[in-house]
Amino acid sequence: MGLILTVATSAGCKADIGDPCTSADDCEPGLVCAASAEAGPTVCQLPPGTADMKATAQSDLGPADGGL
Amino acid sequence: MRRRILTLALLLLPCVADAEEEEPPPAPLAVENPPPPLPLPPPLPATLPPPPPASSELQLFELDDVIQQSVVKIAARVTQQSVEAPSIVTVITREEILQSGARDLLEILQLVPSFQFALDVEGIVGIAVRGQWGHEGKVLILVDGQRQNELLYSTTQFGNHYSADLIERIEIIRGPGSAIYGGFAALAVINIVTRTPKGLNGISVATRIGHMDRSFGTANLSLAYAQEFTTVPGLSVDVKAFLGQSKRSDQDYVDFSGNRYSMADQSALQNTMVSAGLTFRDLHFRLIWDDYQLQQRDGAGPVEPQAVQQKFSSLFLDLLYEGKLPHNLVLTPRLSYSRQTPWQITDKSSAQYYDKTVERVTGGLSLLYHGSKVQALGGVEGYLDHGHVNDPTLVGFQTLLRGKINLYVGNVAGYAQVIWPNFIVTATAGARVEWNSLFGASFVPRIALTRAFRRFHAKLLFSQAFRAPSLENLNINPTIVPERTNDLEGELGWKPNDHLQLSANVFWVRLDHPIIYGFNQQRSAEEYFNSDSTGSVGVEAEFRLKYHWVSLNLNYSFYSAANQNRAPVYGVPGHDDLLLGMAAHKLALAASIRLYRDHLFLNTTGTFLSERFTIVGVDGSGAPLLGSEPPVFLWNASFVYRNAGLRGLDIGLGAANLLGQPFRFLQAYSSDHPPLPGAAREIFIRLSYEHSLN
Repeated sequence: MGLILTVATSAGCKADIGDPCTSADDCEPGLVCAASAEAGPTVCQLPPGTADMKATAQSDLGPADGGL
Repeated sequence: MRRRILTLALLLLPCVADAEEEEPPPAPLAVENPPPPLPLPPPLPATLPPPPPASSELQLFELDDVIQQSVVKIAARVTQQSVEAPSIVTVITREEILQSGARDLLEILQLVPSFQFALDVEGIVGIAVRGQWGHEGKVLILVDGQRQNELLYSTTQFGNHYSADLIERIEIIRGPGSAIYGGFAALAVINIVTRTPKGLNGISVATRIGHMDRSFGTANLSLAYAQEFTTVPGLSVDVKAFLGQSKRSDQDYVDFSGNRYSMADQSALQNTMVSAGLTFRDLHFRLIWDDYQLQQRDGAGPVEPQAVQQKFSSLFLDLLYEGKLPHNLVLTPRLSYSRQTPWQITDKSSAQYYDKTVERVTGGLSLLYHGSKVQALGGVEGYLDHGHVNDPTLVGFQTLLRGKINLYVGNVAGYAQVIWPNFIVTATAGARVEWNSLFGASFVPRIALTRAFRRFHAKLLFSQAFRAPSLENLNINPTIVPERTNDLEGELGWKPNDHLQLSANVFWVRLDHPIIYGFNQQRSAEEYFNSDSTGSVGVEAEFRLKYHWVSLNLNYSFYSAANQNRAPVYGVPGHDDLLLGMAAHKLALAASIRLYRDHLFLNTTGTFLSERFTIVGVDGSGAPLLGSEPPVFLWNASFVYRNAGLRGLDIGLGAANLLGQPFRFLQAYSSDHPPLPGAAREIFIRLSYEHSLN
């Protein structure tokens, strides 16, 4: 992995989330290749039922937190 | 002529990492001793010789009974007398490291003015400078020229990490170095040089075994081989390895709900590190592998159901070539690669699960001009960072990187610096311009006026630093903006004779829009935000004494955040001069007394920290409750018998935290993490053997 992955990814060898794909083999490990909700072209996605809920938006931080 | 060219080539090395490997032979004693009073500033610092190498640990103690004039390279990437370097500089020699009895970098840096250690989360202890929490990207740490800060959160980790047994020398800037070192160098730069072919030129083995009051303490093994090959001029190699196991503490950790666990069997610190270098004439190659693991249950504060193994692994590769050109020019291309997997917890059942990798490819080109009147250094540097989510199972702390598996950030920088010694002062002016693919352009200048005359020296320094957010800063808060540091310092020094030295400096540091980490206990989520500003003012003073039978280094440091800190998460309610987790007053002492000829020594160190404040609980509404830790004095002492029946064999017996003080690391920001107990009293033995191949 590592440097090789960088080169490979830059060359388009593995598709990231939202990138077009024809099968799961085209995608980064752990992703699935499926049609988007609008029945558009198939793209790499997180497996169903997975969501990225941890990232914190700046709007969550009030003055008491010291946010700008 | 060849000597001159070689000296010039050394000036271009981006750091001091390999500098000693090819520096000129030791100078005559008259040069090492303080020069006689000079009516004019001394000659160009680039022509100064390095300190004399010692081929064995014994020789270190036979060398001298005078305070050597330090020669440094860290302040401006050129070789200079420390008294003329354009920064507040601390140099720690191998002799001083051995005399301190320190086990690792943390114990060494505890003896440096204004350096303190505090708690982050997940059992990690980080560094603070001048009251400022520098753990996340504000202190640059280099080992053999390789940046140690991991590139996801920008942190470094302390505690049986970076073995003292393998260190040849440490150079430290207390203050910004961003104008030539770029990001991370906001509050300090620490450059660690491990054993070099010139300094060792042989093999060494060292082991340290320790036992705390209630449990096993330490079992460390260090091996080093380094050699200059006389049969092949210009060829030198070095291979160093460290295997270490220890405990953070043998005390109990207690959270705010009263839950507790014993750290005696659940706070292991393990480190495996290898550094290998090859130099052939002007070509230098370096590889470092570092695997640091700890066992912890403190997580973000509340006691976790079970201990987890957390891992920080790093690989560094570095290749540079010094190309000598006509007209006193040296052109150095450099190519580096790093790969790090920090904060890794692969147990998906853990609430702390996290598994990401980050890489950086760096290319650089620098040009040095060394004229008779002026020195000039300029260069360009570019890097590409690649963050990668190793497993898209989004449990625990695992997230995507801005909604993707891969995240790329590019950065290009140019820097320039001119050193102009004249009959009034040595003036240094420099600047760094950066362009970041996400944050655009930045500009940071530095200006320094220094003067060494007779037995005095004086410095007046102004510099700025700039840091773009790291990948996780940006991932967790997409609206985060870069931080900028402003720093003003002045220093006076006096060396009344060959055995005494005094220096004192004042500082003012302000960080605009500091990037601050916090953990939201209600949401069980990490946060990043920019605060308005934070900063401190203070003073640092050092006194050194050295005679044949005794050496002593005593220093004092003080900071105040009054009217400087506008970041509520760092502040202490009701004490606006203090910052969370940081003692306002610090006193550090290191002494070595020769008890019997050149064989038996008593080494002792002590660190006093004044009262520190922290969060000690939450009230019924969840609001934090403030408490304080009483002043603490950490005293270490050891007896060392050198050349114990065999030249190069040393035997030591000592105790760390001899008084058994209940020292605890306090969280440096308000995120409701209880204090983490530090090491209790530990009795240890140390055996080392060094054999020269001369």
